[in-house]
Amino acid sequence: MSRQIEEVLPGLEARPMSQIVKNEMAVIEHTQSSAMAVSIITLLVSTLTIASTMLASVNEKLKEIGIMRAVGASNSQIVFMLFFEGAIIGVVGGVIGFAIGTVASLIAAPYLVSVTPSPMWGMLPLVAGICIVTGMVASVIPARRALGIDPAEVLRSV
Amino acid sequence: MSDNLNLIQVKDVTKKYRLGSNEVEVLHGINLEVKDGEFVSVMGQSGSGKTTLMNIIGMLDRPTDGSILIKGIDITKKSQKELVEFRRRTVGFVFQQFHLIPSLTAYENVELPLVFAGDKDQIAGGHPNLKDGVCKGLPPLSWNCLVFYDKTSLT
Repeated sequence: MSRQIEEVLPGLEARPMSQIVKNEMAVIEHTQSSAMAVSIITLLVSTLTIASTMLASVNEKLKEIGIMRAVGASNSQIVFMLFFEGAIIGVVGGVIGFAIGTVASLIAAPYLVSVTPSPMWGMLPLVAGICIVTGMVASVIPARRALGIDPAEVLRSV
Repeated sequence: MSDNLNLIQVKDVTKKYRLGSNEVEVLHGINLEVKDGEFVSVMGQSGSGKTTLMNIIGMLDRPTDGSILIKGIDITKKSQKELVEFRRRTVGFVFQQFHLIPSLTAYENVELPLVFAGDKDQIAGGHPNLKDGVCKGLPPLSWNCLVFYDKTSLT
């Protein structure tokens, strides 16, 4: 059909709508894949950053954790405390990141792709949930470090 | 002496630490019995193992050999989880240093063991002399009364 149109009207480029949609969809899928890859890498980096922050925090609080264990904190209470801290770091970081990302896309998108995006507030609970899980996963290694603290040794050294 | 009169029994307790490739024996077969109501002082030179013995009796540390019986219960056979629960309910420690948690207030530091034991309500509702950090029905400077002045001070 498109070839026939081009023959009848020389100098005109005719393309089937299905081809145009297919090409547009390929571009969108490619963009989505790239965005997903960036998101996964960002999530991994965030996990490592939170883990590193938490590990430094545990190392700073060796004495406090030793005292807590000495006055009766169980392993599960220490782990809960650190997981809670990780979840708080994750959710605060996630919500701030979501807000900055939304504002940045509202400012930048009209210049870059000539589109004004609408904020995806519906995604916020999902983002918060993923960030909480990320924070908790990042707390696993710090929690193992905290459980390895010998209260007798910590109290002896201070 | 029957076991039930002994609050604490320490039997042939040894404690060895590994320092690099060397093994240092700090306690060499300690035997000790403390009866209910007895006041006992442990004296010795610095480095003689007093703190190590206290830590072992207080279940903060485990002996290398020997056994410790508190109220007739052999604590050396208990798991870590059981020890935590037993220590919460049975042993009180007055540390040589204050060992306070700086990020918590004076009241929260006092409250902390009860929070871990799941008895937080006890400090607010169950204890006769302490409610919300102030004495109830007692003169402010009674000997068995805690008064929390601000975040870091108490009498």
